[in-house]
Amino acid sequence: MLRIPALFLCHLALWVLVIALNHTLGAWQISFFGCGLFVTYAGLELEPREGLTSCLLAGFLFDAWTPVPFGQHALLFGLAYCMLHLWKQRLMWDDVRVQSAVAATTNAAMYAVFWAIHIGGLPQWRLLLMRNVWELVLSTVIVVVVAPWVFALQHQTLELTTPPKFRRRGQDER
Amino acid sequence: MRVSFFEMEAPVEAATSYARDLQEYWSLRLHSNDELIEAGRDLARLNAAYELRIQENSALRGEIERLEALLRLPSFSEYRSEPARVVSRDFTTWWQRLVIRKGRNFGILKGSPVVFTGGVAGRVTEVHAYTSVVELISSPNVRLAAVVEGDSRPMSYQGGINSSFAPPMGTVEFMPLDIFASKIAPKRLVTSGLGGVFPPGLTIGYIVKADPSADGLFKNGEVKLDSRLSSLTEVTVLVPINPE
Amino acid sequence: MSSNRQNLASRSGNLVETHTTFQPRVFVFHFIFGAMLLTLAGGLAYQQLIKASSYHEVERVQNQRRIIVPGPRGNIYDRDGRLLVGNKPRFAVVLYLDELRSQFRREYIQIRKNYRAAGDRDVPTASQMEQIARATVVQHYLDRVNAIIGRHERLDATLLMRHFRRELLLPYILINDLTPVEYAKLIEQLPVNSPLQLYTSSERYYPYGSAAAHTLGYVSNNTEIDAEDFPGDDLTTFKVKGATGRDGLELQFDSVLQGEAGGAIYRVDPSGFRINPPLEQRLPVQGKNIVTSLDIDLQQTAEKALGDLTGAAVMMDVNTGEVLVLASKPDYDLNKFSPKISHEDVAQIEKDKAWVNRAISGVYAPGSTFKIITSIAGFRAGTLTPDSTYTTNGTYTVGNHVFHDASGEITGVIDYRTAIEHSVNTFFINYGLKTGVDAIVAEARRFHLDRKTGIELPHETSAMYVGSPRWKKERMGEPWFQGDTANLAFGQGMIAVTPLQMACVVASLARDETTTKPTILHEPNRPTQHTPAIGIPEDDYNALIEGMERVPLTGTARRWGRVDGLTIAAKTGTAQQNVVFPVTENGKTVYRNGTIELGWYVGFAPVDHPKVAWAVLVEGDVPDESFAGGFYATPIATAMLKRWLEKQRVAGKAPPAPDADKPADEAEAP
Repeated sequence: MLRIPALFLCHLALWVLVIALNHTLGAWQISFFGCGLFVTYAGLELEPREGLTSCLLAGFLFDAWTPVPFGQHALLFGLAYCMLHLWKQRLMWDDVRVQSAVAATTNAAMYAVFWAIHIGGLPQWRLLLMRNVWELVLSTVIVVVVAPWVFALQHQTLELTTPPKFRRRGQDER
Repeated sequence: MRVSFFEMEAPVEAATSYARDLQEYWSLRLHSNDELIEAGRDLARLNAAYELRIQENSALRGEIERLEALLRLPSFSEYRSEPARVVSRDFTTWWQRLVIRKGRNFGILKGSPVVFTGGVAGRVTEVHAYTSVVELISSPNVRLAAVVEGDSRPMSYQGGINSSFAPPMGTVEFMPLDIFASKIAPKRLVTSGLGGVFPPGLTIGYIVKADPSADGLFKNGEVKLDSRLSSLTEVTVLVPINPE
Repeated sequence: MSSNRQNLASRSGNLVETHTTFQPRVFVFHFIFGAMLLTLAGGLAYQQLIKASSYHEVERVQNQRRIIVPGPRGNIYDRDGRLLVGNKPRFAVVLYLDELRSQFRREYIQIRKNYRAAGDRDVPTASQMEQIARATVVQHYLDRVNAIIGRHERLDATLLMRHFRRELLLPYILINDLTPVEYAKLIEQLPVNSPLQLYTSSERYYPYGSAAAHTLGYVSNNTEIDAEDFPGDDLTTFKVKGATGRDGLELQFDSVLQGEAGGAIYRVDPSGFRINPPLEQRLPVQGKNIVTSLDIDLQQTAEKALGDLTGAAVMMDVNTGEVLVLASKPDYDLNKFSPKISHEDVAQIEKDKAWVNRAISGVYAPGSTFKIITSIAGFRAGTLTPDSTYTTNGTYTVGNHVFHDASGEITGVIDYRTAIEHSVNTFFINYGLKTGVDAIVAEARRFHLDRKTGIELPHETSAMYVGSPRWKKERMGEPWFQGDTANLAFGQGMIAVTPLQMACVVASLARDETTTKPTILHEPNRPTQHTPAIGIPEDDYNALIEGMERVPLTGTARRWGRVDGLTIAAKTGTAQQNVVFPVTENGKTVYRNGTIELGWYVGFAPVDHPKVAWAVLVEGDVPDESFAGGFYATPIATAMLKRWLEKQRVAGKAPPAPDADKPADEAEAP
């Protein structure tokens, strides 16, 4: 019952950090795109009801703070969750390195989608390309580095909020 | 729903900004006495300079009032200044925004111009209970009527392409053909005051490039904006006293 | 068990299938089906493989639209680089209708719902409701613009419907004449991504108003703009109005001034709304600029001096033939043509007879200025010398006709130089008759008075003529009389020329040559013209120039012709011209024949090193009224010369005025 609010709190904390990081990076006219961090754990670890709900809520966090049609992030997060959920059987998803790689890839894909929505139609998109490449590289590096801690936080939070009898077998060992 | 989410997030971010202020406070507290004394002296000098400016300004204001009285002109200031701390900066390729720590609680109005020590910062695009969102002039979504200092012909300024690790930039369109500007001899671009939003004479930036447009009717130019725009910590909102 | 087997065996005999390997009747069906399948496959292959490209083409033509946007015209400058004709931006606020499709739909549904809820029996048709919805939405945007700029514009629903029918691809212009302040307000208060956008177009702009109006010319709207090399000729094309030259330089150099049109090709939806972004796009490019030989200072001086008179003034560079002034009055303000001239203004121009460029399209008898040609013909024929004299009593009788000197003041024995100085008709009739018509006509033709000058301007008349006995016989069926020769000797009768031609004659005379090719284009290092020499002895030439030098000093132009610091060789002239003029009698307008007098003043300066030549013509405006040519024409040339000298002094090409160091007030005091 508490798992979704707990995950939401994790996402809120992560969102605060992303905003704070972007506040600092703003001085150099560069920004960090970290949406992939919000969907990867849910996509790989959680069942549809919990995972999708937490992803949509995380999407709304972004939607409220940014000047995009409300629901755009939520929709994108939901789609990303569904894709991950469908493909996770083909991945060694319980390996933390794989999870980091998946997070970075998902993040890059989501960045590409946002780029296509906001920049793709502009006539001067070529002029923005260099900055976008910088941002993508920076975001990928940061996502790869922080992903294990972010996922551990989400995992531990779920551990704390889940009674032992409902835990999945094997979760304790991980 | 968007408003609800925003209002839920706003205190968290505001708290973060308070924490940042606190951090700044403590980092200042850690300065040595010598540094503090030196800073105090600098401040005293700055204060003295400002005092002088204030006196000059009051003398000029008195003169203006006298002239207005002579001409029987109505005397009023159109804007109320509302200084505000910056909660967060959000500078992506597709928007350039600030969230400030004042909202409806301080009577901030949507569309109000926002200034800083370097000139125009942007305009308020969203007003919430305790915070407001400011779209910066470096954002491609902001457009205003500008003039070159000393000229009266309005042209269109719009936020432009902002490259990483470089000062923010804007573009100017519909520039008369007889205006010349280059990196060596830039022209100061100021607000025209004609558009009904921004008061006249505020610095927008400097035109560093002006090329004739393909149709030969006007020039298009690049405007270099104040680099401090990317690291603002405090701005002033000019709230119209008699909004239409 | 055995019985069972038997039973089965007996049964099996009945169950054995029999196959016929060849059935002709079935084969027919196989053949039919095979043929049908083959036909279908063939048809499919034909449609998919062979006809695919043509279907693709049909689909392309149906789904794509092309917009052609004209390039702004090039500018026209004077010889010093001052803008004579440029482009002025015209600001408009436009509405991109393709971005409003969903709003039109919503409004349509709302209107239909309202009618149904009201239970109104008189319900409009779906098409009418669609039109109402469109007008409502567009009016809503217009109201928003009105609120920002404080106007009260209303939507013209008919225009909107026409736009939907014919020009849906183009943005709909809500307001076409925004002031700078309104434009500034809209820049600041319209959202960047609004369907309302500011749009700029160009219209011709003439900073000097009516100056050189006939020479510069004007433009009119043109919808037949084409974008060369821009693909999609076969697509439905929408053309934004451009401009095309209708007169003067605008017409003559239309192909040079005309910009390179740009364009865009859009995909459209089934309703005809465009789908962004464009498939192809090319920006329009401004046309090439033209630098004329005109000097706008001198031009304005000449026009100011002409004032309300009817006439023309030409001034040209003696050496290069570049025309510095080409003025014609009455004229019209060129800015009235931009964006479109009104019927009232056209009527006024017609009433003033201002369409004609009198400098190149008006033909007039040259009067006494023709005595220059008579003199040269006499010198070359040997019938006239610098020492020739004639005793005059002020009249000369040829047959039954008595010719008079213009002034009648000069009588007794007069020499050649005095004859030029005081323009003594009887002297030139005497020597003209001795020289003979053939020599005079030949000389006039040698100076190209019988043909166009070929200046780069449209509508130069070809009505000029130099009559000869043969010419008169052919045209009028009459023989040539001695009186005709007498008339021709002082520039009357069978001769008509343009002011530009007379300017060319004096420019040629100044160089001691026979022809000058005028040009209206400026080239910084244009070489001096060289044409055949006049071919008279130096003494004869000097005598002619000396006579002309006396004209502004003591001769017929002495009252207004002097310019301090400048030596001038000039000749005045007065001629009569037959006209038909309207007279109001008993409230009715009737037309009568009469004559008007023409005043000429031609010459060149400075005498030693000629630089400029001019010809001024003024028409008398009252029929049958005596009109002293030099009196009206001389001050106009003098004003031009004074201004020219002033400019030469500023440029350091002429010595400063003797009183240059005096205060301005004192220097200008009469």
